[in-house]
Amino acid sequence: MRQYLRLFLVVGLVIASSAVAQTPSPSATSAGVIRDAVKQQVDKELANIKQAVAKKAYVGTIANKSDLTLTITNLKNQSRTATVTTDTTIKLAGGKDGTPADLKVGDFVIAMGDADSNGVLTAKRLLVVTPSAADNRSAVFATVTKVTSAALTLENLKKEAWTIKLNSSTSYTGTTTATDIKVGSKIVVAGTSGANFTLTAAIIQLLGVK
Amino acid sequence: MKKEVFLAIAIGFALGLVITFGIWTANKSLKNLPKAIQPSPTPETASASPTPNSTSSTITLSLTTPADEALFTIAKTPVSGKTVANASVVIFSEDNQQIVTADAKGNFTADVALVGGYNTIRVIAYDAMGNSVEQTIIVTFTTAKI
Repeated sequence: MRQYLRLFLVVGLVIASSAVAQTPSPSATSAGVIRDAVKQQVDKELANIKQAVAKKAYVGTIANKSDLTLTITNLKNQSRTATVTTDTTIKLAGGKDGTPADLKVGDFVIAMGDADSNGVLTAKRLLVVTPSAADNRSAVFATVTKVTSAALTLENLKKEAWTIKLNSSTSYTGTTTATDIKVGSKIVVAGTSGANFTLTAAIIQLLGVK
Repeated sequence: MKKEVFLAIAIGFALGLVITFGIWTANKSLKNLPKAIQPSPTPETASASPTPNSTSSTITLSLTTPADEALFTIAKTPVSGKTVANASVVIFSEDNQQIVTADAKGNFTADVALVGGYNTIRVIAYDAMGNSVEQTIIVTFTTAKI
């Protein structure tokens, strides 16, 4: 009898073990997923901590001043809050040292310091500066319709005809040279814009060339 | 004797099936477990608010670095982000401009030199048709200890 008991146990175990062998163990997959989830959560928390106290710089015009709190309208027309203290290094136009009392509504400033999780910046250094001149550079994506040694004529998606002036400073991406640009070529040009769809090319990329 | 052998085999077979069913059920339950703990995908966020200048809504652009309003104490930063595959990406910095091509996944990166004070970094991406999208970020470079 013991012999038979042993026999059916062996048969049962053989069938069960073959099933275990054929079924992919989910533990490895699960462990991987759990590890990824933990890693992602840790990264998220680290990012939150970094975000909570981040060194930032608010650039814009003082729109409001209340005691030591400044409301700055930045270059994207967003409102930012910065506080100044007696420890804040303040440099007025021309590099003169200043105090919070010297700051006026309308001053264009760069406030540098630590921003908290609400975005309120405690300024450690604040500069009153002159805003930069407007950037008159632009880029064009278009098809070449005419080529001369001094200029290219292009037509863009909006059917606008652009004149691209070339000079000795014009550079090309990759291995492209000026002679590679032909009528029908598609190019991207970045440079200084002028009136009436003209652009002095600083850099040209010929599409389809690495 | 023979009858008993067959009986033992049959019982063993049945036992094996029961164990197999148990393992199958356990595996099935475990397969469902990761779905519950799998993190939901977080959308890529642009650190700068987009200023669309596009003739088509199909092209997208998100900048991953640098963050808008970031403060740097070194005069260089990588500008990287994601747009459509193989897009041409024009990057205007304060005193330079460059054009790079996004890879097949739309990722791009380029090193940009910073000047003292605030720097406007303007990024324009073009797809193969010429549709474009633009984003601008402002970062500041200082050598002073903040």
